[in-house]
Amino acid sequence: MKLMNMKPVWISCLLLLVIAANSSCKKFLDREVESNYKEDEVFVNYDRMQQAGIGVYAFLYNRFGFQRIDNAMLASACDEADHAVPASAIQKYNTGTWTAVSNPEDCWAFFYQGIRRANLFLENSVNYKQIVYRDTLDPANKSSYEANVKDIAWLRAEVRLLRALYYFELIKRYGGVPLVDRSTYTDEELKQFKRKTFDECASFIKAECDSVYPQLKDSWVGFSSEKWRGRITQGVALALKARVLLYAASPLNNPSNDVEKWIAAVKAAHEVIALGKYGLHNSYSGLFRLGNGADGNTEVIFAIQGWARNDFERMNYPVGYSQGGEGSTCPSQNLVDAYEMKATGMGIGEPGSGYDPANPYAGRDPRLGMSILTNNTTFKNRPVESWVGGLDGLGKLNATTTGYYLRKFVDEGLDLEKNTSSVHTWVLFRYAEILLDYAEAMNEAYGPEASSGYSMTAKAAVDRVRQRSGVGMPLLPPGLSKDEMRARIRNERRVELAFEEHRFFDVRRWKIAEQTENLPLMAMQITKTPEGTFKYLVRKAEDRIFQPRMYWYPIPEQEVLKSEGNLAQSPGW
Amino acid sequence: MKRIYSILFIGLNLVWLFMACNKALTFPEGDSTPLPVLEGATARLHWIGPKYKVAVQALMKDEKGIKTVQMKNGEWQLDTVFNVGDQSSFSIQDSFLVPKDLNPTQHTLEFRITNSEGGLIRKYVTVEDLSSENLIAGYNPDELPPDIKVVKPTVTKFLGFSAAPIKVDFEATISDLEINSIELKLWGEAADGQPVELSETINPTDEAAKKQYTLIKSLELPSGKPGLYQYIIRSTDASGNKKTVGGEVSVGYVDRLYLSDAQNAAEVTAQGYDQAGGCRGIGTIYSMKKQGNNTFLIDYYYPASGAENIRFIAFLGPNKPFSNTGGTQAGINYTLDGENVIGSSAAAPATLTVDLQQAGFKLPVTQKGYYHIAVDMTKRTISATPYTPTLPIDAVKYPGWSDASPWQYLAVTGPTVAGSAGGWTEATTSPKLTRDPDNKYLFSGSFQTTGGTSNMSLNAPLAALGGDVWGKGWFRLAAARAAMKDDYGDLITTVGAVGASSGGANWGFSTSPAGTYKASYDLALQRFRIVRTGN
Repeated sequence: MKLMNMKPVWISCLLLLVIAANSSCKKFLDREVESNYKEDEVFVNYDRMQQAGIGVYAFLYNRFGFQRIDNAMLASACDEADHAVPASAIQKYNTGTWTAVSNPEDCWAFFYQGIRRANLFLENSVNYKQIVYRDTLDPANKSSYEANVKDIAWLRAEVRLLRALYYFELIKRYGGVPLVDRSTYTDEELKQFKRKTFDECASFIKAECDSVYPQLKDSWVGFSSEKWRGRITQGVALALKARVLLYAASPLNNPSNDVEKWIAAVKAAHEVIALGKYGLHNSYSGLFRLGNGADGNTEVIFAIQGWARNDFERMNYPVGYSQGGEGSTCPSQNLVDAYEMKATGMGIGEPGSGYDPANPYAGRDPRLGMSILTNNTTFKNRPVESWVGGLDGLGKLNATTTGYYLRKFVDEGLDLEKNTSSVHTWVLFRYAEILLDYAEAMNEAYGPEASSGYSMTAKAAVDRVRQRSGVGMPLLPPGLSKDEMRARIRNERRVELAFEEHRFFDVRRWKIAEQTENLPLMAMQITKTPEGTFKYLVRKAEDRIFQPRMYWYPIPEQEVLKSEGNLAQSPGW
Repeated sequence: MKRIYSILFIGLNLVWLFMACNKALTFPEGDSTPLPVLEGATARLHWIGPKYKVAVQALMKDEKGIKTVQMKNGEWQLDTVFNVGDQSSFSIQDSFLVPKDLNPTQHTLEFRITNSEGGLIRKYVTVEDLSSENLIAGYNPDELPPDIKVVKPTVTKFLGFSAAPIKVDFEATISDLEINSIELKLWGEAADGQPVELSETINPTDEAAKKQYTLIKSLELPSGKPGLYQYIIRSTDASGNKKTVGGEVSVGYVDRLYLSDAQNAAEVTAQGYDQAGGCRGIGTIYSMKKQGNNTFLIDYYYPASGAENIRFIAFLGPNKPFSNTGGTQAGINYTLDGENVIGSSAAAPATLTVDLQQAGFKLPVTQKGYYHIAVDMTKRTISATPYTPTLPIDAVKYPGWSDASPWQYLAVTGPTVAGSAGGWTEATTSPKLTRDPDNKYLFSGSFQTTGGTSNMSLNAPLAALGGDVWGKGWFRLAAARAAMKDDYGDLITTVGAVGASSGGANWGFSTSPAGTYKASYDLALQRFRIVRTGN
């Protein structure tokens, strides 16, 4: 029946029916509480303005840390590990099938949203003193006014630093990116954005770190009933500067090996050391289980506050545990082989190291056992059975593909059957990394054992990390050449910072990914003999593919297309 | 309408035709072309000492001709392509050097054989590991580096306060199946930038020395100035294995530095000593806090009277000013003229000199007052930055005190303090430390003790206490003695205001032995300085 042929009365009835149906969807007793403020309604008082600033911290979540890429850790996209689930998107990195339209860890839009949110806050809180003053006209609120003004001043500095951090996260993936300094642009203006160079972006980040440093608080511990723990501090500004300058000096971004860039990186890392505020925690295994008290620890410079959860344990407990391990991050033999011998401090392949291939986990760097669950290690009151046919070994659904399970970050004390949980905090900057940043830059700038006016040599900085209480690895041998020291520092980073999202980027900035990431990922096949002993045989778990273009992420294709040619795609994509 | 359908039909057919003509036909239709064949392929891993090789034998056949053969292994990074040139058969009989496996490893070689028509097959051959069999009978390679046992240097830290060059003694025993070379190297830089590089290379010639060599050698570092140096002993054997041992040598980088303001040697030997605690800290020497590599800091009140005798006493390693742990006044391990004493230059007081004949023993200031003192032992300089101390407002610890109305004196009390009437309350006869006319925080005077061990306290003036002498204004130990450590972790007595007393072991401080004491107490620095002057 055509509408034109309907009689007016039917049309009226139909309309009434539609209106009635629409009205009935609104519950009569519903009360509307306005929660979606417009921009001009946000920056009118302390509370809303403060929440807008704190909101910039939200972009720390989902791009750092635990199983964030289709349930996988970033470690499974480099030679540190394999992800047990073959269909996970993380595998695209390993099969070389990621593209400008399908990048499992694309961060472009995400961090630019964070940067826009930061710009919005910074633009609208310029007159924060007047805004807070209007909000607290009562003279009796003077102390509250002073506290609120101070808080927004801190927050403005923090937001600038977060913006700098988000830029760093972009440039370490994409290379130089457009620097966006306003929250609002016309479409035409947006199309005109071009990439800055990596160095220009790094200079901007460094300048921001220097600029906000004096405006930041030195610590939030013990302040205001501890309610602001986890916010940015002065140490974060120095640590970020150290990291960005190290990246700027690294071979990928410093092809002419300009030594001045290394010297700048030395100075920046030494500023953190010279603060005298940070040190090494006395428990390597405990360092990653500090929860939200992490920022009170002497080693932790910045940690992303977490929440009580057990999904990480559900993923990473060995599969044979009745509490429900599902298998996730499987550390590689490539990584396991990097752990030296504790007694000699030598690599396992060196003559005289003391390594016994028939008993491969005995006498190794203690960090191996603290980071990786190897076969026959006691975990939750029983030995891990990674051998073929064992409770946790090959043949079981979602079992390890490499013969190893992840131990770092994992809370052994949870009872998954009772759904117990614990707070998981992701440490973003810690002092050991600073020492290794410093060592790397010192070695490149001045050599392995020169102090050149600084408080320690490259060797001394590495030795400090190696000699952490509870680790106690032997000092590096003296007289190493610069090349030898470089190799030792790189190995030390690999071991000390394993699974902490450094290796994936380190092999890129060192420009060695074509070697390391094209090697197959190796696994340990363990067989239990009738006598109860084990036989160990290394096998290939999978081939990996890395092409030169993969040193940089591709900018999402739609962004390149929208720019009408102004935004240059990363080379090779 | 029909016309449109006709055009569409023709267009689709053209597209189909175009696509069909462009289809890359790898193999013709009908019977499939025989694929390339890999026959009798073997791969064996051999150890040919000290290297490893994989020996490959393989025969490939294809009726249409083989174009290329690619042989790959990821973990060995083998990737070899053979251009066969359309031959119908091709064999490989070759070996390839591969790195040593860290663990027993199962390897697979991948063969990709492409025929002349683009057909491709992949075949995998498992590598048979024969590396545990020695293929060269009797071959016993030297894979271990030389063993180096270092006997000397046993001393690697030197004060360098004398004008003589620093002699560093080396002694080491090197052993190996065949030593090729031994290198001794001592290098670094003095603080003034003077580079030092001393080295010697030895190539043992006789057979015994090639197997074991004892290195004995002394090298000299520049005299009279600080410097940081390193040494290595490196040996390489005939097989190319290398071992390096070594360490650091420092000159003028001290572990501890103390400021002494003893007027003379007697003020060193008779300086105060806390008998009961076995602690120092109430005498004439004060530890300085180390900052960085070689800089030391202390806050100090400088009277600028012209009679000052400021000396800096340096110690290395486990050495320290006092060796006794309690009970006696003995165990003073320094003098004012020792080899570890450095003082300000008479000619340039902001610099230090190790030549005590040229020293003025002053701080580089002319005004009395409180100073942050920094001694840079690398540059050998002293700096003094004035500051104004403050006393916290605390009615319990400092009753009645204010900057505008400071106390006139402190009373010395205690059962064995002469004149204190046997008690802890200020009596009219109690000895007093009188306020310095130019420094409201400084009190000085003398008193006499009568007991072998004299427990005592300093009290705020009775008038300021308002009669509540037990609850306020006591100066004794700021904390339990065992918890008080100086800048280097040694027990020390700190005399500070504690307010109400709780009795017990925390009861005042003590001196030993009995006698007459000259004393001063600095409220701002919490520094009690006593010297026994007689019986």
